[in-house]
Amino acid sequence: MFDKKKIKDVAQLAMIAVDDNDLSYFSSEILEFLKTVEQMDAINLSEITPLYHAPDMPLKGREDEVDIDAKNDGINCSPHHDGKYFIVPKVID
Amino acid sequence: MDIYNKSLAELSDLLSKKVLSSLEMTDYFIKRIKLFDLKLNSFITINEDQARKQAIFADSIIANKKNHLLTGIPIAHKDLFSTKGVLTSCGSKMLENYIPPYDATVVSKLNNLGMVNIGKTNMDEFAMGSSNESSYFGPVKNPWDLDRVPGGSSGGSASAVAARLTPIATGSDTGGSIRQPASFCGLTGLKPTYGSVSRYGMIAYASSLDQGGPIAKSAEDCAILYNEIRGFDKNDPTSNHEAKQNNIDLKLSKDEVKNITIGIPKEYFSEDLDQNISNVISESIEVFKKMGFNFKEVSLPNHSYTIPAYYIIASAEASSNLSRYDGVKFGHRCRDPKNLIDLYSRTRQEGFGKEVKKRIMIGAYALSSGYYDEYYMRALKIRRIIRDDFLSAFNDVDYIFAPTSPSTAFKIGEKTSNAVEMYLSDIYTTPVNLAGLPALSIPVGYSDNLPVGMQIIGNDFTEDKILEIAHLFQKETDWHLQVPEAFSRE
Amino acid sequence: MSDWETVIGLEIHTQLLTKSKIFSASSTSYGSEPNKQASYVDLGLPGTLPVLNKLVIKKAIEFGLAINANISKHSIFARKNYFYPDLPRNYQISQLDYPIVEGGYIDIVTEENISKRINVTRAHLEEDAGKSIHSNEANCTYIDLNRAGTPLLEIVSEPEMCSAKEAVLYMKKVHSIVTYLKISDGNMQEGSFRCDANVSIRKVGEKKLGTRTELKNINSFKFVEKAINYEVQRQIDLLEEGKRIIQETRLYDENKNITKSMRSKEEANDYRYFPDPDLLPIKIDDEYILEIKKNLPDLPDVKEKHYKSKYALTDEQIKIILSNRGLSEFVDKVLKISKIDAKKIVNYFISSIYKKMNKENILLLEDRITPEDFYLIVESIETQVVTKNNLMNLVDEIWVNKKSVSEAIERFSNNNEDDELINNIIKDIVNKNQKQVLEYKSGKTKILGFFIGQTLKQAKGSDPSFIKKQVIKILDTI
Repeated sequence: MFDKKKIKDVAQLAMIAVDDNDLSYFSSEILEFLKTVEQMDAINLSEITPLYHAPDMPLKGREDEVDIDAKNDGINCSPHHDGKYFIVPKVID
Repeated sequence: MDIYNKSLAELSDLLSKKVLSSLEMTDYFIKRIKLFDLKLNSFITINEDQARKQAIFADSIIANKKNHLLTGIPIAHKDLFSTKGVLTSCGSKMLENYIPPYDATVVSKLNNLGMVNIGKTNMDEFAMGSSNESSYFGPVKNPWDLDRVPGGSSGGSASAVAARLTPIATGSDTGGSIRQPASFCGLTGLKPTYGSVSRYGMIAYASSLDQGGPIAKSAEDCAILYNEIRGFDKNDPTSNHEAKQNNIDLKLSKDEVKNITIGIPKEYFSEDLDQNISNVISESIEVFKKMGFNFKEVSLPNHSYTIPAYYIIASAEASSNLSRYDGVKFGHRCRDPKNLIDLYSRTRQEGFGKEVKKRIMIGAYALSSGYYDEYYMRALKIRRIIRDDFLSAFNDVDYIFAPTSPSTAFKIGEKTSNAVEMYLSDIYTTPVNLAGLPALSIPVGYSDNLPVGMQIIGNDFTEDKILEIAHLFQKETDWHLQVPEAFSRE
Repeated sequence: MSDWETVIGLEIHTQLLTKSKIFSASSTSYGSEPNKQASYVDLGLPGTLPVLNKLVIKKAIEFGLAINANISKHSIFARKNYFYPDLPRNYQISQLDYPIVEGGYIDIVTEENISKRINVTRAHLEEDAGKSIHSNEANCTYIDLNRAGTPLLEIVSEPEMCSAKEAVLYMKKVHSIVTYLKISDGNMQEGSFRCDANVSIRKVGEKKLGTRTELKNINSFKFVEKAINYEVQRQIDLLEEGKRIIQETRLYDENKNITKSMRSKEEANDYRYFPDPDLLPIKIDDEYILEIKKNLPDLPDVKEKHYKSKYALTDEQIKIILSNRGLSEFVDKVLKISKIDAKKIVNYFISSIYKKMNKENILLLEDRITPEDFYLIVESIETQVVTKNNLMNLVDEIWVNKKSVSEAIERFSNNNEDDELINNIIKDIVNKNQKQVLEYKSGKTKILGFFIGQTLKQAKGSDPSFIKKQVIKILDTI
């Protein structure tokens, strides 16, 4: 049952703040969407294996080498840092 | 001279013969963008300074006669390709100030050939959309009718190429985002086989579906660009070693055509398809028949399950891919966060638009405990049977023709209040993404003065032949040469 | 006696010994400047993608083979989704279904000399998170992502340990396996070997498991034992007071020797695990597993038996040699060529090379001194060419001063001090034995033996070859 409580739970999982207007909007939109999804029930899929990637191929890795040319200056992209660390509000553990 | 309408080969010729320098050509197109783009809103960033620098450098390479065909020619990149030092917004407030410190593989490959990055094009936010109406930077207009959408999510790229503001552009296709805008704008757009074009540097929407590709005025131009962007990339773990590296030569002869059989899926040409579109496509099929191609009916029986499966898979992957947008390391951050949860949840509430939030929540729901099997697993199984349907059809035929979209470009605002209807308009493009197959959309005519597109779909890694077939058709027809009236002047 | 019994399961996270991280080419070395070892991929910048380091697969398989587990031919990476600032993408790439190693066991020997088998549920690969540093003064948290992406092998045991002591034995055994096989450096101070303990109690004879708590933040063998003992007593006290045990995560405070409840970031969290769409399944074939198995060295258990039966080494000696694979490989080579008693050689080794390694904190021996050279040094002492107290000097001559063995022995041999003395002895013998001198001069070189023998009688323990040299020298001047 996809109701307002469910939307609140899902929004929490997705870490998105929602106000009451949002809640109404999203719950009706998603409910509409889920109706179309019900079509998937019409078919028997018990013998079918899921397909994750097409075309299929095995994972090829890389050798254990360090990239010495990497700049590692990504911290500059952050909206909040002190040159050494990323800074967030204090986490209470 | 109508430079705006010249093909890549013709532009290259002008540069080689020094009729025009790359700098002059670049300035020409930038001037055109400044003149016309207010009407279209197809660009988010006009990359004037860097483009001119690139053009000057390209000119020096051309002077030394060390140039490639693409050297010195301007290109616009969809704003989800990371461009080092140049804003890459993905059509979102979340990244409205994000300057990547590196180039996407596709971008660096083309930069290395001396192409000129003229600007970043507008798009549906995080590539989620079929009309380019969800962009934080405003909707894009269709050059054929400014009250209509150009399609999405690569609406900016399609609009810019259709209005001849750039000779060619890159786009991305997850559920039709190259093909459908190409079809709405009278262009040729290629979605390659999954794994052919590196996703490194492409801001991810749905990892197992996203593919970058060209949006161009012709199959020939598509082929020239695609040649240079495909191939294995060690930075992309889903990049396929089988992605070809040889040059595409469009030399399909009339003799070979006799041995090619095209399949027409009966489910695609039912009463649901708009009659006008069906007629236009039928007429173009006649042209193919006259050229010597053989036709046969095929069946894709599980076609009707595509939309829910596509949206569940894409949303599930997106919900996880977009978790990284949290205000900590890059992108938008809300003001004065009270605590960590507030930082995350308010940043994401402010930074994402409605459609993105909705799909993230759908995705989180589909993966959540208790619903995983019912939604996500079922969708993956449907994906299997959709691909099997195609593979089975390819036992009988070599390629498949299909409509690109059930309609021509609709009016701005027409479908925004009915999301499901918007989703259903992806009915002909999404099966191809689920199956990982290559498909090209080409313009085949008009319905009520609006372009109609048709897809040529092939088996894995058959892009070369698909482009050849389209090229042959474009030698016999001139749909692809039409320019929207309002933009067919210097 | 207690009518409660304890049930313990351990989850060990061990950092794999690779140069680069599991999904990016950043270095894994410890102690760098904050965020200087975090690449664009580690940060999860938009558009970046994880590329697997092949070596982690090999190391995981090595571990699986060492504990007789099943290696999955088809293994999948999955995303564990949750939000936390030290988790760059707000999902951790780990494994859920189809982990790379399944089953297996670790045998321990308890204090009462009873052998007990602890079964392993699984071992899987995952990436480590970064570090959060909470600051009260600045009222914020600092994030360092250097550690984010470091490869981990998570080893999960069945809940089959019955006491803190058994848990420690299990943990030590796992530690010795991973360090011995060079799967991990097992450095607990640097956090490359961490242990979480799941602890519960129940009435003796009760089949059902009690509510368990998870103890985190334990980074030494000593603290594992203390933490578990404290927790067990805490639970017993609670139940005996009629109270409930809450299923929760608790942190061990080593200063106060207590466990305290942690407001868990992961409480009641739905991780929405799903196969990572950026990473295809890992396919492992039998040939690859066989090849790794062939090259896997004997484990400490097997070697211990070998050392006892063939060489009669003592427990203390064996413990030292097996503490590090490099040591045992070195000693093995020496023992192979040795004609000297094994116990003696090993003692020489421990009092010289091993001592030096400890003092200078060196883990690996490579290139500093060869087993052959070491043997020659020992031989020179045993034959009294060099006195015993010069053992370390000889080692240093080769190790530090990079001299050859003969140069080292030459420098410290007894004869250097008694050069003069021997020369005088020889001169004396030569003077007194003119007949033999003439015989030598006429070509009978065999007569050298006479001079050498006579000299040795007077200069016992001297180097015969040195004497020979000097005799020839002196005879040639006549």
